[in-house]
Amino acid sequence: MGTLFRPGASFLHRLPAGAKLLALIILVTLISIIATNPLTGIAVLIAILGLFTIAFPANGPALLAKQLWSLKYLLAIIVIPQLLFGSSWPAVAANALRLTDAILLASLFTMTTKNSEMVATIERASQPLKPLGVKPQTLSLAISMAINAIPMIAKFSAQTKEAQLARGVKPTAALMTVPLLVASLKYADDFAEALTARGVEI
Amino acid sequence: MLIDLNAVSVAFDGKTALDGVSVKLDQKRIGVIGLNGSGKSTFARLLNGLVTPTSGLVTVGGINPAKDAKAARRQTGFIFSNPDVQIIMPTVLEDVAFSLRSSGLSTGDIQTRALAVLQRFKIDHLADQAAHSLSGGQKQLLAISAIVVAEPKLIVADEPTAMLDLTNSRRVAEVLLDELEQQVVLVTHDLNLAANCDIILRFAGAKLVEFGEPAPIISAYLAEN
Ligand SMILES: Nc1ncnc2c1ncn2[C@@H]1O[C@H](COP(=O)(O)OP(=O)(O)OP(=O)(O)O)[C@@H](O)[C@H]1O
Ligand SMILES: [Mg+2]
Repeated sequence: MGTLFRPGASFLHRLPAGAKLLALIILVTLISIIATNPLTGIAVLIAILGLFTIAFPANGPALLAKQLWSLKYLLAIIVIPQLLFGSSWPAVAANALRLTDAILLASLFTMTTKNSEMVATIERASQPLKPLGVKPQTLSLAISMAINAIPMIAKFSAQTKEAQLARGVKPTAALMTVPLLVASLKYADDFAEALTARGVEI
Repeated sequence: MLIDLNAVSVAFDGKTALDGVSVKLDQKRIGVIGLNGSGKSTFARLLNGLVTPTSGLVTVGGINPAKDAKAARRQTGFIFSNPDVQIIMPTVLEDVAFSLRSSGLSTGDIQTRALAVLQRFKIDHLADQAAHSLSGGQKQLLAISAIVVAEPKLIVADEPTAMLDLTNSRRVAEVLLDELEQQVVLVTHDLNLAANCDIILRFAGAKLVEFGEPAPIISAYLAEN
C-alpha cells in the first residue's frame, strides 16, 4: 500500500510522532482557512512536493505522483457534482486542491511515521477520552488492524476481478460486490480465529 | 508435555467431526494425516481450545483448554495454513512484538527479543517492511516468529506448508521439525514431512484409525486410498 510507513533517515522521519501529528492538525486547519483560491492551493502543493523530497530524496516526486494518481476517483466524485450544480471552476479547483493538499500531508505523516509510534501517540492522545468509555489500547489495536486490512481487501478485489475476467465476465461494481463481501467475511472469520489463538480477547 | 484425549467427540450442528478419540502423546514431533474432512483440524483446534469437545476430556500439560482457554493459549502456539490471516500488525517487527504486549517487559526489551527471533529465522532484514509485502514463505516464517517469541511449550501447525512452493515448504518444515526445541503437532498432506515425525496419527471419517511409527501407517494410507 502506498501510504504505509517507508523507512528513511530524513529529518521528517526523526521528528517525534506527537510533534508531527500536532503539525499535521495545525497545517490542515491553516490550509482549509487560507487556500481559498486555486493559486494558493497550488503553492501549498509545491511546498508539499518539497516536503516529500526532503523525506524521500531518492524518489519523493514519484511518490507524490503515485499518491495523486490514487486520489483520482475521490477527486472525480467531489469535482463532478460541484460542476453539475453550477459552481465556478476556480471555486471547484480551490476545493479540490485543498482536499488534495490535506490528504497528501496526512499520507506524508503515515509514510514517515512507524505504526508503533503512531499507535503510541494515539494511545497517549486518547487518554483524556478514557472517562467517556474509550479504551486507548483497543482504539490503537483497531487502527492498526484497519491499516492492515486495506492491502487484504485490495488483494481480494484483484482476485475477484481476475476470476471474473477468466470466466469471460466484464467485472462491474455490481458484479464485484457479493464475491468481495464473501471473501472479506471469510477473512474476518479466519482472522478472528487467529487473533483468539494469539491470546487477544475479542 | 502430555497431550491426553479421553473419549473425545466433537459435533458441529449435530454432524460428527470427531468420534470417540482416545490417545496419550508425549512425543516431540507428532504428525497428523488423513483425507479432507477426516477431522485433523478439529483435533488440532482442541489442543488450544479453539474447538471444545462435545463429550470427553482433553488435557494438555495438565490444562483443560475447554476450561482454561487463556492458559492453554499461553502454552500452545498455533500456525494456520493461510499466513495472511495471522498478521495483526502492519510491519514485521511490530507483529512479532505484539505477541509480548502483555508480557510486562519494557518496550526496549520487547523490541530486542522480537528482533532476536527474527534473526534466528533469518528474516531480520525484513523487520521494518510492511508484513503484507512479504512472500508466502516469509509470511509463514513471520507467523512462526510471532509464536516462538512468546515461548510456548507446544506448537500446533495446521497444514503450514499448504500454500507454499517447494523451497519455502522445505524451509518452513525444516524450522518446525528440526530447529524448534518445542513439542510440535504438524497436520499435513505432505507424507514426506509426516515420515520425519516421531509418531503419526491417521484420521479417517472422524475417527482416529491408527497411530504409531510413521512408515507402516503411511504405507497403509497409500494402499487404502
Ligand atoms: N466450524 C465448523 N462448523 C461446521 N462443521 C465443521 C466445522 N469445522 C469442521 N467441520 C466439519 O467437520 C468435519 C471435519 O473437519 P476438519 O476440518 O477437522 O477436517 P480436516 O481433516 O482438517 O480436513 P482438511 O484436510 O480438508 O483440512 C468436516 O466434515 C467439516 O465439514
Ligand atoms: Mg483441516
